[in-house]
Amino acid sequence: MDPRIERPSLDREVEEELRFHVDMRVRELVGQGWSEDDARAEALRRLGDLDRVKARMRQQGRGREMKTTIGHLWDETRQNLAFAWRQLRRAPAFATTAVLTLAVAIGAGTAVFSVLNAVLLRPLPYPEPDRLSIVWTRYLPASGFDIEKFFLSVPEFYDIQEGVRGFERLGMWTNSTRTLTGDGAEAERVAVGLFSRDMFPVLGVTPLHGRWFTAEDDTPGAAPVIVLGHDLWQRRFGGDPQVVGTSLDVNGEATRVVGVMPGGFAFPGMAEAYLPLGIDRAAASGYGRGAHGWGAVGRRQAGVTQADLDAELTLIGDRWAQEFEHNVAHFAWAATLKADMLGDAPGILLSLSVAVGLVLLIGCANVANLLLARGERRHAEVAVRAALGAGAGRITRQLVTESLLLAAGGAVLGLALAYGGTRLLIAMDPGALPRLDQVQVDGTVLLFALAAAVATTLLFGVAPALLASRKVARSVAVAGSRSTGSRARSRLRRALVTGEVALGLVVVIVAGLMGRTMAALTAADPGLEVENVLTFTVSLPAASYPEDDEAPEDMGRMVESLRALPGVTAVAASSALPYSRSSSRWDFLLDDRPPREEGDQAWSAEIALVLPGYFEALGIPVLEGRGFTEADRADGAMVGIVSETMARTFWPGESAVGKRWAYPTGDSATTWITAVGVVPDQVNTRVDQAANPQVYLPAHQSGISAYGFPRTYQVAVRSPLGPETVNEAVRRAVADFDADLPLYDVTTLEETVTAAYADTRLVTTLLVLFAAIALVLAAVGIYGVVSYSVAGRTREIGIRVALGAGRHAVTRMIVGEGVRPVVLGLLLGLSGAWFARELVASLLFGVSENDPVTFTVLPLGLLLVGTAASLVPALRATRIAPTEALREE
Amino acid sequence: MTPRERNQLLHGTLDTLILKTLSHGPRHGYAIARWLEEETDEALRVEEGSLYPALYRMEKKGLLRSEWGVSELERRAKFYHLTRKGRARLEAEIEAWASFSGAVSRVLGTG
Repeated sequence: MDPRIERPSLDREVEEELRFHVDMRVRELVGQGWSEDDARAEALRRLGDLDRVKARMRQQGRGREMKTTIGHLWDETRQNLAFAWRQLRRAPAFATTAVLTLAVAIGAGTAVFSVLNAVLLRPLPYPEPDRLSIVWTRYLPASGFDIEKFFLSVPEFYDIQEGVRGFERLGMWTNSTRTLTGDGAEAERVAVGLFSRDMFPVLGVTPLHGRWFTAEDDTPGAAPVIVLGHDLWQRRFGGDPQVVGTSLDVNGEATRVVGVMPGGFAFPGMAEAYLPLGIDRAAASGYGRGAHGWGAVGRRQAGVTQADLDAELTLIGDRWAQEFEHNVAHFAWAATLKADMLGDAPGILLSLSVAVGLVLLIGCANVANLLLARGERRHAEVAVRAALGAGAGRITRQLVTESLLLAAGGAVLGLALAYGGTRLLIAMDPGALPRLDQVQVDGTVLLFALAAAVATTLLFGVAPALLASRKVARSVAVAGSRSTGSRARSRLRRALVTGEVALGLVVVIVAGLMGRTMAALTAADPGLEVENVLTFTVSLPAASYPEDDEAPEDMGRMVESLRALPGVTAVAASSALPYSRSSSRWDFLLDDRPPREEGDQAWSAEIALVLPGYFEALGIPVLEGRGFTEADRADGAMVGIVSETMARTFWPGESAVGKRWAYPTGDSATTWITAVGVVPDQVNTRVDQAANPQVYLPAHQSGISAYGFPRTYQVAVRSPLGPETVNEAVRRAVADFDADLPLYDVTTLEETVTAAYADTRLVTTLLVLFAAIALVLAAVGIYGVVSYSVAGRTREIGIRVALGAGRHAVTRMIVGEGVRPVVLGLLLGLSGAWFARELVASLLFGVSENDPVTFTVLPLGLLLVGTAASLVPALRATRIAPTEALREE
Repeated sequence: MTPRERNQLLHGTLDTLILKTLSHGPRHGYAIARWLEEETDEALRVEEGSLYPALYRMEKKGLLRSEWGVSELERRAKFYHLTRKGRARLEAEIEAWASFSGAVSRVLGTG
């Protein structure tokens, strides 16, 4: 046998093999005395149906060939992998940089996509969730308010339930809190949802155990029932299904447990149990049209769009405007339940996705640059392999394998980073975005990581590989000298640096704007002293405190006992503390104005009922007039304190002190309230929300206005020892006052303020992190390009120095060449950032979206980084002795 | 035995016989056919039409390998040889045949 004889193609092989057989047989038969022709006929006869034999041979042969090809490919791949692994191990700095860059880019991208998936893409846990809409009302400024999203009143709800045909069913709900006792466990205050009979059919969720309330349960005067939320059921009842049918005291009233909801059911947000609302059509007339405190969720008829619904609601709003003279610039609107739940999250996540996408691109550009540089350095190696007979395809496959190996390493490490990153995100602040607590790296996200890895490989692996293979032919001829394509490639590498810097600057500027926003939010004067204040909420139940008008007195005694605690310097109690998000807004009449006429702006303000010592305890200065005293009681003159915005809005240019207003009470005589003082505006939600007019009334006097005395108080305890230190003493003091009173929402004022900015902080932290990554990647990219170009020009530099060029001049030249693509990138990046700032424009506070500081300092900073990254290799190059440099090559 | 029955018997054993033929060293297809004719006294006359498809099938299965070389008469010819897998298959077949024919012989009282 001779290995040099090549295997013919399958068809020729079959023909030739059979011809050989026939020839040999003919030779044998002729030897036995057959004639040549007879022998050939006999030989063919013995082979049988020749066409069929050939067909069978070809069929088997094709199977063999395919197996062989796959085997060869597999062998080659294994060789390629092993070779790539050895190559990468020989260049650990290159391999590490490339894998880490990919890992960071893929990890950050996957983490952000995980959040996007959990928050935006995953459907709500209700059947056909897209058909659910939530109804709100809106006040335009002409009404005296400027409230985007406000509750409905009960009569308004029935107008919509009866007048809007687009809803298959519409339910009503409101938030409340209840104290649970009477089951042997400790008294506990829980957030509850008061739901109308229609709410559960609307949401379409079946209870895990027991049943939902019936229409009879949700009738005024019906025997009280409760449905437990899953968390409460687990926590308080140990997940025992037998709890259905037992009795529980809710605010001191025996209430039967009729059902348990499944896990994951959470509407509205914090509710832990559900009680019937107890309002029916007949009772609706007892609720004022102006008393807004109820939400509505409906399931749209199949085929009815959100736009159809909006059209119907507009008609209802027009009807209100005609029928009710006080209904000024106030109407109902609806949003899909999902859009409502997500709030600002889509915008926030969009800006994060864009930023992380840019980081991903920068990472890819960097790795592409690394591979291009490496490809050039391996010029000689590739040339040798080509000369030894490796085909261009084989060499390309080899280089792609190496890129794939890098990408795989980056993907695996990136996934680990993404996993840790999402855990970190949740740990940072699960309340910053809706559903953030449900974020996990799941299958979809895994696919994303793989797609990112593959896309990255195609982007940076194939292109340089093709470049490398294209020059193979040329390189064989000119091996050892620089090929003519090197200038084109170095242009490509500079272009990549320009792109990197441009994208990096966009991320850095957006992060800079957010950073300045966060700084402004933190530095903004909240109008009170937030440090060292413990806050909690307590409710005085009617069962133990039957007299409404004595509740403020009882609360006053509790406040006194807290003030007496060692280390406590001051105590404030109010129906709504600053930053509590829980404010009421009441309409009022003004003494010095003629009665409102149709079309006039409505007069209204947020209201807080406070106990004496409130402003002193919170460090709120009284700007004009006086604060409340112990003398401001039911038997004294009716007084109130107004905020600056209230004073400016209703009594512009004059002193508010001495001015009078009143809350309309219907039948009884008007009770005028006199302003005795002015205080700064207090923040109810965040400092970047416009301040509303605010009014403070003494809790002891508020009942006279017929709006009822408050029974729920938010209490603030100030102690220089710190909130943690006095926490226990405060709990004991309240228990001494009444052992059955649960404290809830126990926190500190600082934490409340911090939590108010959680979403802004999350975006800012991530953007700054991405900006830092982008900056490091860009610096690495610039450094890589400059040091590569310097390494290739050692000889030229040596000649320049030998001919008397000063070291400084050479350094300047190299740095100048390194910085040129950076400057171009900065110019491009500035225009990119000009568009990108729109992404965060709505989140900005205390900084203009055209902020000149951000738009000058950050590009200059980046230029500095670019210069430094070029300077290092430049200095190294000029330090080489000329003689040594000239000996190169 | 009719030729047809004989062929059926042969079909199952053809692969084994080819393996045996090649256990002495590489051969081309014609040599394999000749060896089978001589060794079996033409009793098990190979239907030559099925020999070559069988060779191709066995090569696909990895029992054989083939190379083109030069024959003893200085002609291009395709030579087959056993792979390690083919050799192992042959040993297994011999063992199975021995135990099968031993059992049949004992039953027929001819052993």
